[in-house]
Amino acid sequence: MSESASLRFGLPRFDPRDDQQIEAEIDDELTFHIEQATREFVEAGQSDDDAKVNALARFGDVDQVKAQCKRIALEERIMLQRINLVLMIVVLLAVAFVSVQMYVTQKHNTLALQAIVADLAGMKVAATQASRDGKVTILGAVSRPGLYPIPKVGDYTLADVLVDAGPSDRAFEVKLFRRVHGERTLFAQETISMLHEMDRLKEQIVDGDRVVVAPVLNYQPAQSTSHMGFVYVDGSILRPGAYALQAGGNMTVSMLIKAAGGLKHSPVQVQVTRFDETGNPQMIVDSLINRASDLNQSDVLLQPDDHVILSAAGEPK
Amino acid sequence: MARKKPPELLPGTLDLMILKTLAVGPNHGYGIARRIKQTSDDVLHVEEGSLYPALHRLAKRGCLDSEWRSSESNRRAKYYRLTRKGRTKLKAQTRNWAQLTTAIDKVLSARTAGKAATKGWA
Repeated sequence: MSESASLRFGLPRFDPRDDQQIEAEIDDELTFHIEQATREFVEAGQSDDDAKVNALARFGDVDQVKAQCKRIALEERIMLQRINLVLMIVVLLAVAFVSVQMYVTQKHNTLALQAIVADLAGMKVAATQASRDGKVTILGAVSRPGLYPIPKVGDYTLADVLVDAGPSDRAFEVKLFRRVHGERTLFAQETISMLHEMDRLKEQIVDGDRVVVAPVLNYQPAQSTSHMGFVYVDGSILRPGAYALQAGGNMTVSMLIKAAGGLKHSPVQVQVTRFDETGNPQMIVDSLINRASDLNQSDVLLQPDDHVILSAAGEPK
Repeated sequence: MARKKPPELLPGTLDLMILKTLAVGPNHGYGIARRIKQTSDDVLHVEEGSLYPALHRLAKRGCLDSEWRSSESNRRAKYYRLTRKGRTKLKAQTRNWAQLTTAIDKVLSARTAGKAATKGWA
């Protein structure tokens, strides 16, 4: 049974004896042989010593035979040891491979988790932005009263609402009403005499705000006569025309755009032309913007008689 | 040691002789050696020690079973017995041996004719 099994798998039969047992059995077997041979010679009439010598001579090299027999008995063990070694190496390699794989997977998972966390954070941001999504009502002395959506991204201040709606008077009073704990209350109030003063209106607009604009009649600007001159704005702008430059007013291009009601199109090419002492026009600004605040370095301080031309992209200049 | 060396055995011959001897019945190494010597009329002078590695190898391959038993002299001896596999091997090797010897015989008997032919050609 075990024989056929070992035959089938081509494996040597398992020898349960240990090394010393094997050696002892070989010794026993060979000794028996030499004893028998010696006895044979003695029975043939030889002396004990002669018989022993002859028996050994006929046997050959006892130690060599012993060694050969031992090697045969143990060869399977040596082979098993080799197989064990190979198996151990294979197992070690497998373990190493699995470890590396696990490490890589873990790393990958960690990265994926980080990505998910980042995504969630992004979604949270989006959610807060979405929560800013809402509408503001603007009423009163404006060109376009009504409901304005609050953009999802970026700032949206009281000044922005006014630019969108376009105040119809140079001087006006703006009131911002907001629901606080369910009750509509007056949240901010400002009187604007010069349009560029709108930069003061920095309140962030939230959903449900209501802005009411009232004209200030008979408004007497403190230095109404001390204006330095006019600048001119034309093109893709809500209220083109001449605007007075107040002394010490420091009006920039973006302020002028806001004062003139804001851009009609987006993007637009902004060109500012200034006349030098000899009356030659010099173009001091020429840039493409999406909104007034895009001007940055090109947001120069205006001087009397500057011309600001806004042309919608693609429109002939 | 100036001792006359016994004639070399062809490889596999010793295995064949062991298997054949054990086909008669179980025996120990010494018994096998004596039997081979008797049956071969002392022509095959096998160095008796060389029997044991061959026996062990055959046992390991499953051609032989071994068992410690008390011998005729009442001393414990290792007895070997043919297994089914050993019997099959014996048959196969006997057949091979017959084929080999016939072939060698043919070659050897053809040698004289070859010599004559060479003479004629020369």
